[in-house]
Amino acid sequence: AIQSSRFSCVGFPLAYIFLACKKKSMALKLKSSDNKIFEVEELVAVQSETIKSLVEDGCANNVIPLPNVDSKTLELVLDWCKNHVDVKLDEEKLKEYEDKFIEVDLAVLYDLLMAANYLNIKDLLNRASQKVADMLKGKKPEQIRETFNIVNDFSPEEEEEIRKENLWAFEE
Amino acid sequence: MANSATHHQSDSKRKKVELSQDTDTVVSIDRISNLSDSLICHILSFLSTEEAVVTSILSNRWKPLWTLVPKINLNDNRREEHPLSLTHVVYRVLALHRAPLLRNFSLKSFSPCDPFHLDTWIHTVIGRKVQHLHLQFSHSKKLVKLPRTVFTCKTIVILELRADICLCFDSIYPSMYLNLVRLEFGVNLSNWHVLKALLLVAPNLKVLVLDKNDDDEEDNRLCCVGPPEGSGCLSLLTAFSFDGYQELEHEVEFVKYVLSEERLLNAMTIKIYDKHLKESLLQRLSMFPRQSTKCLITVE
Repeated sequence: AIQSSRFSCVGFPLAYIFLACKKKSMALKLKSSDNKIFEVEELVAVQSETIKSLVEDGCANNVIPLPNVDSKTLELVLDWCKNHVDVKLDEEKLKEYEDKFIEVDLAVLYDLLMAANYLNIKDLLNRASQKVADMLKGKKPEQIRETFNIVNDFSPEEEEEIRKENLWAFEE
Repeated sequence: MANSATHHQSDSKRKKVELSQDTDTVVSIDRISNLSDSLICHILSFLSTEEAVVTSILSNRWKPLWTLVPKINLNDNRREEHPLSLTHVVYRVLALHRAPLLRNFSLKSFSPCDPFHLDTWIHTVIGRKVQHLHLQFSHSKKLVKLPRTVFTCKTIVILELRADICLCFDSIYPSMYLNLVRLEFGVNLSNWHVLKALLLVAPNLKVLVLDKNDDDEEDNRLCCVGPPEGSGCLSLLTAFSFDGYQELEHEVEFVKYVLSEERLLNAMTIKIYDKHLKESLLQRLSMFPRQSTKCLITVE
């Protein structure tokens, strides 16, 4: 899967979280980018591999700052984590929950995608990626551009050439 | 794209793309193109290669991205009206693909594949350290000759083979699939010996899924049935499933063997077509001696 370090360390080094290292407690405090503090059970929070490695290194006793995740997104992410603590619960109900959870605006979906990537929560990252992939599936290029506001920076000749090169992939 | 992670604080200040549509001006942000390469590739990995290639025409940003997805997934569902054959497409995709690792290679075809080409492709993907190899040739009346290169691959973790596979015994190399943990195999009367040969060289196999198609059985070349010789093979198996079980003699023998030998087995799922037989079959299966005390047998 995707290595979180490649994304997460850009802009702010994780290293400075390693300031105060004491023994772990049952509840963890997470601070969102807009400075809201979330108190969560360790079991819930460690579904994030990023947080888990902090806990394992004994560096999670103080407030853990998450400057890449705003409070609105963090609330959603933590809700996901709470519902995935015991995966064996009920597969059908969990799937129902996931399907409902991921029915969000594109803007929220991006936030979730990037938060899941940064926090390294594999199942959420996959579910969000799957959702975006579903939105790409079976669409004509023009429709995809419209959905995602992608600007076509090819000249008509260039575009025609790419289309010809990959004719086998285009349903005409 | 390096800054993709720091986005959302500064969305309002980031590139705003103005799309002029006639006189209306719509201000909207293209956030998907600002995601990192790896994140976009992760998204594309949920598509077939064909669908991923379509995104190359979106913009310059997207043009090379499909070639970096660590997965190739090709099938010839609706290829008939296309000018290029699947063979050409596979060659082209493999030539253009640039991801350093190719984790997943999946090829589904309705027609039999020239063994020479198949061998070439498998050589290529093995060179790219493929971990999940999935070959499916359905509805083909001809046997698919499995190239010997499949047996020399050391990185494969998941192997799925669904086809009328033919294999010459002299082509089995004494090499081992040490990494193979999951094997999905489309069995029929004529390829049990291939399955047996595979099981003998996969000491770390944990999951075995057998899938039997009973439509195409007109040429019943039953050869070398029965459980694998020698003990110790399949010793780590934890899950076994058999779809299309018909209680043929060799099938019963195989199931019996699995139950009596596997210590770690905790789930055996047998799927049958005739649902009336469910209970009586479960009874019969429960009578077989079992090595594992915690094995749960399910009949569906």
